[in-house]
Amino acid sequence: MRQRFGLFAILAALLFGAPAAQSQSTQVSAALLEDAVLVTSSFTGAKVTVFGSVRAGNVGRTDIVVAVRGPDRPAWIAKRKRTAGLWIGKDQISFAAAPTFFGVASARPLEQIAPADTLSLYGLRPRGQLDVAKASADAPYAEELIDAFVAQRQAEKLYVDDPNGVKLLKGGLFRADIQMPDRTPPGLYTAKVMVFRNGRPAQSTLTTLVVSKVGAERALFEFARDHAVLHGLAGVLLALVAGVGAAGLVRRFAPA
Amino acid sequence: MQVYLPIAEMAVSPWLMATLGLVVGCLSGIFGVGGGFLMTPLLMLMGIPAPVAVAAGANLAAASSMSSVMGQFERRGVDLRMGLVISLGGVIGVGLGSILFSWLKSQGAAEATVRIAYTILLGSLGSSLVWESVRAMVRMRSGTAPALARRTTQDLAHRLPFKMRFPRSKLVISVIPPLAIGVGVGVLSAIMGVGGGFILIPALVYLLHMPPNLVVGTSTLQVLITASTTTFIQAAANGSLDLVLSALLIVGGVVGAQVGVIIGRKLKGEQLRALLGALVLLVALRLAADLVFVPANLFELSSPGGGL
Repeated sequence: MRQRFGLFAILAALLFGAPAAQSQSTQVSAALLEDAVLVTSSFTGAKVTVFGSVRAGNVGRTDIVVAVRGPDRPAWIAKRKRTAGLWIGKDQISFAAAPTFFGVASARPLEQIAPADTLSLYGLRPRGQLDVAKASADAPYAEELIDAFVAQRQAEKLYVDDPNGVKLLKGGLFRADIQMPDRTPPGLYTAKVMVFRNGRPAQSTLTTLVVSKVGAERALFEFARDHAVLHGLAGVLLALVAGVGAAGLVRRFAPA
Repeated sequence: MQVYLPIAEMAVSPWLMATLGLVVGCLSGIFGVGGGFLMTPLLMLMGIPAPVAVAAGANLAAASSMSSVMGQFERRGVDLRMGLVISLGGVIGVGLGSILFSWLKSQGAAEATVRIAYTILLGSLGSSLVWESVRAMVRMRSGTAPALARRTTQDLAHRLPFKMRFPRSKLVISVIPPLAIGVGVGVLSAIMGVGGGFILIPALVYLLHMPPNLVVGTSTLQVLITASTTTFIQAAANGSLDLVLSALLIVGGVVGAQVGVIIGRKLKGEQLRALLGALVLLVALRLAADLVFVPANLFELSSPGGGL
């Protein structure tokens, strides 16, 4: 790839002179509007906004693609199958790691920006980001289940592809918005901004954002993790006290 | 309005959850069942990860049964000794069931066999309950005295050794049948993932010949003990208990249970059994539908939150 770029640069320099040097030095800088997302008890999802500017030559077309990727977690998918007329048993594959959130924003459909293999190579397609566990990679139904996994997560808005998510403003400025649903887990997220020139990747930059639980949500989560036994007892106690309380209230106000 | 659940890692509507708790709690108050067979699939339908749904269902069952057992104790509707013996069997049964479950899983087809057998068992149990109680109601209306078959038969419970006195039920029977019933319900609940209260009630009526006014209360006590244990184990071993979700469900559940107890008092024994039979049939139909019809969700996958 680098070799081809080099060749292209030399050819371009020979043909166009000065403008070529300008187009070669495509520059992009970007920043997150907020680099921390706080999960409180009223959390129903968040919008990640990336601002940036891109400086590129005016030869050809410049495209900006922004991809936000959540922390990886192991996952599995199973397909139920019919045996002798009954729905028993299932085919299942596991993923050693799969992004919990994968959102891509662009100003026009991705397939118009670059060829499919380029998109996949530069990590802009969720399918290429799935790490299928060794044991299930050779299964005859693996392909079908991987496709279904991506489709399911797309339906749940965990994997999104928004061809109107990037707004190009004046003077090479741009703004990208990516919506994350409430189910996106806490952790470290990366936001990648890629600049395409005439369908070729020209420049990219990476920033990170943190999604973390705060306040009561965090306290409960840490209590459950660090004191599992006490947490279990608290659950049982909650049930017993609520039960006794309700019975007491009813007896007091509506004696049978 | 939405409330975020810290362990399930998703947002839910608190009103919807409290209403669900109310409906399931009401069933629990009427029949003395836990309602896990209804709660767990409903929660999973809303996208809550399976382990979290199981723990929340158990916690709700514990609260609802606590709420209704208080009223039952007051009305002297609980045979404490019988409830404890059955619960002891239940704990043993859950242990055996977990071992059996992992063995069945390794056998592949065996799990499906159990599933089919269970569906048939529930189907025949439900229809015979409905049939028997409808016949009793018809006989009652026509004025013929119901045949008193109770306790006249020389049944197993009286012949086996280790006799025990159950003063509240006015029974002197061997401890083996109640223990065995507990073990059976425990094994089933470990394999099928449901509490099994709806199997316990017919067993108390037809196998142990308990007085009808003690059946619901005693079953509720057993549900209370089993559900509390399940809640604790799920929280301690898997960390899958979500206290925010539990609190939302329980608020509705304890109120529903009280309403259920009031409804239950107004029902006659036969009516209660007919309704219970209908409920068991419903569960059987749901299990059968799962086996026969093309599933709505052909694919199931682990969720990004708490689920695996």
